[in-house]
Amino acid sequence: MLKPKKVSMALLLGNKKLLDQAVETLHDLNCVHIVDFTEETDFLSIGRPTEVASDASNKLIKLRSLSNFLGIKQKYSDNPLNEKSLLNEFDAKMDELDSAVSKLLERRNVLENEIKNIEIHIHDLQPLSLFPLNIEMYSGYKSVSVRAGYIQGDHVDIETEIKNVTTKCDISFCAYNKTNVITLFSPVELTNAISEILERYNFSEIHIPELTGDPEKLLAGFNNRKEDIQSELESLENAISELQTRYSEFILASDEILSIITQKAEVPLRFATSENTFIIDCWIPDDQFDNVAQVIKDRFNTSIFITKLDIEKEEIKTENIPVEYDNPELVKPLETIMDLYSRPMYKEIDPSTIIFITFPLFYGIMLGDIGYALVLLTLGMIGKAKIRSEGLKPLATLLIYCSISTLIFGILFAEIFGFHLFGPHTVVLELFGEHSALGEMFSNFHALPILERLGREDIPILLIATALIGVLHLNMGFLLGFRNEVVSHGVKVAVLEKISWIVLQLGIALAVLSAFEYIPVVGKTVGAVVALLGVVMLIAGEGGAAILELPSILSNTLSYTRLAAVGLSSVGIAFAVNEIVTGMLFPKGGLFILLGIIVLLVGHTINTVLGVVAPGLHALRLQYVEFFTKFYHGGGRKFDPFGYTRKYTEEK
Amino acid sequence: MVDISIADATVEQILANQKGLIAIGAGLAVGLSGIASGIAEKDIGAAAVGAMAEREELFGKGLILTVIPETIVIFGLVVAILLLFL
Repeated sequence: MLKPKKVSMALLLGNKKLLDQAVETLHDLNCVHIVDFTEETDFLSIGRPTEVASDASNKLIKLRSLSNFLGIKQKYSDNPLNEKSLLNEFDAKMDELDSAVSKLLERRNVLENEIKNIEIHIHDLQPLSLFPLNIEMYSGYKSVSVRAGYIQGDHVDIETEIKNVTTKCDISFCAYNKTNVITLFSPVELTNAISEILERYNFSEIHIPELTGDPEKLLAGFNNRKEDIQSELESLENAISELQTRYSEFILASDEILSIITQKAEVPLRFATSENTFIIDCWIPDDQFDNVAQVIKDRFNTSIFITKLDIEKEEIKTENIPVEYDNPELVKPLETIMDLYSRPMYKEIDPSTIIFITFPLFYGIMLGDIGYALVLLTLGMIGKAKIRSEGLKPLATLLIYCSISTLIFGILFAEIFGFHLFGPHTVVLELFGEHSALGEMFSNFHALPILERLGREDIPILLIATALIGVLHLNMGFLLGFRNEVVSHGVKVAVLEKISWIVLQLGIALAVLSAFEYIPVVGKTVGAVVALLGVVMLIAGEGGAAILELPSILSNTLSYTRLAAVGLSSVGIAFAVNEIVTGMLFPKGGLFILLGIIVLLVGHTINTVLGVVAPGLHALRLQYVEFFTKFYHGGGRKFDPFGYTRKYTEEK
Repeated sequence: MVDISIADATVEQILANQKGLIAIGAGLAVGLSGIASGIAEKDIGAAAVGAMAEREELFGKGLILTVIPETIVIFGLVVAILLLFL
């Protein structure tokens, strides 16, 4: 529970002829973590992928490009397809799909090119349609040069300047889109002189399309064609989405099968092979080892040899041992939180079980409200039932844990949506009237709350209580750190590095207790000596720089007062919303009651969202920053068994 | 404007004045330390998001580094509560 699953290193050795069958067997077992063979020698070389590999990966590439084109997304399927029948019809279906897709793709490309051309023509024709000339009249002259384009500036000025050069020309202007369009017919020999004038007015030429006819009519024709193309493109998109629905199952299932085939075909690249044998280095969980050995014995008799290697004797580095969590089902959702930080090393303590208790505990202390707890519980339940993604499901379960803890603290604090549940200010009294039996009962119940979070006297108590929780949590961290250090560096280092902190705290505690006269005055001196001893131990363990670390014991402990602070802010917001509504809006009656209800709904919705985010992040931070830094290193390698969890297909 | 000089003030007025000053002090403690946390966190947060864009598994470390200055505002809050309630 507190340690990762025990694994053993194993060695499989057999005749190369049996390699395919061996791969098949290991794949079926789905519990063997293969270690890549990397160091080639004269005798041993890296294995070669089987022949199907290149064929299967080619097919996979083609399939994935089609899937990409159709925009197929991973989804949950409750109707797995049969592998054999799928493989039988794969080629035919693939051809069918390929030709359908390439037809659509080709047509789409043609249409898209055409629409681009049309848009260019429309762009050029629009200014020309303002002039009464047919398009063919702008070109085909020997002695006349024709210019058409956009120009800036006063057209009278331009015209005078050109007329100064020559009067043998024809100039027309039209206003278009905040600028002017000019068409100019002039003798060829004067082209350069006229160009100079035009350039001064920022002339930009319009390309005359190679068309004939009235530009307005041409424009109308192009616009009609554009609309036609657009509607055809739309129908193409529909055809694509139709293909997507029709082939999505086939594509997902084939992708899965081809992935499995390539996975099996390429795995020899991770094995060591000699001329006639193969050797597989792998990790097998201890509880599965006998099963694996038995299956291999049953299938291959003695032709494949399997043996367990001793981790200590082989001098394998801890960081190379793959880590698989070994937690009860209840604790599993917390593994997500562990992975978010870093997987534990093989010889380290796996704190999932501890944060299974402390994470919801901290969350509950912070939020602590019956109303919000019930809302979150419902959300968590819905999430657990609806969410199918493996990544998000644990978070829904975690929300359920947290809401249960919130409910418990909500009852202890006797708060419901920021209202008091018991005592003279109970919300029941407001709801059922001053003299109702239920109201009297709730207002006369004094056992709860144990703490009134917005009460003047109780806030300091809450602060001290949360700091004490911090002290407990931190020391649990130091003890776990002590254990980890004993395993990795021996008892002496462990005592100097971790127990020193506990000694230091003990000294401070003695001094503080005697300062407040709970114990005799001599406690002050004793405390100071003990604290000093702690500091000396720490310096001996971690060196002089450890002095810089000393204040962290104070800041870490005070950091836990956030349990009170975040809670206060949450109650504060709820209280403010309730006060605005019941104190200011409801008494005015009429429309204000409606307004009050809206404020109540919006306010509490916002507070619920904040209630998920803030306590969640702060509870997480207390684990990661304050707790984990006392003992946890992480960086373990994930145990990744050779195999495949099928989602869209079944073997038989 | 009500003009109160200390000599004319009643005991109640002086106490009320002190309460107001305490409240201002508490507000300053939370507000200023909040701004300080914000300034510290904005740089770390930006860098953490950048690191996460490169390697997604750095989320845990990024979160930790980002929230370290948050303790400053908690200190501010503790000081404020001590001022107001003790």
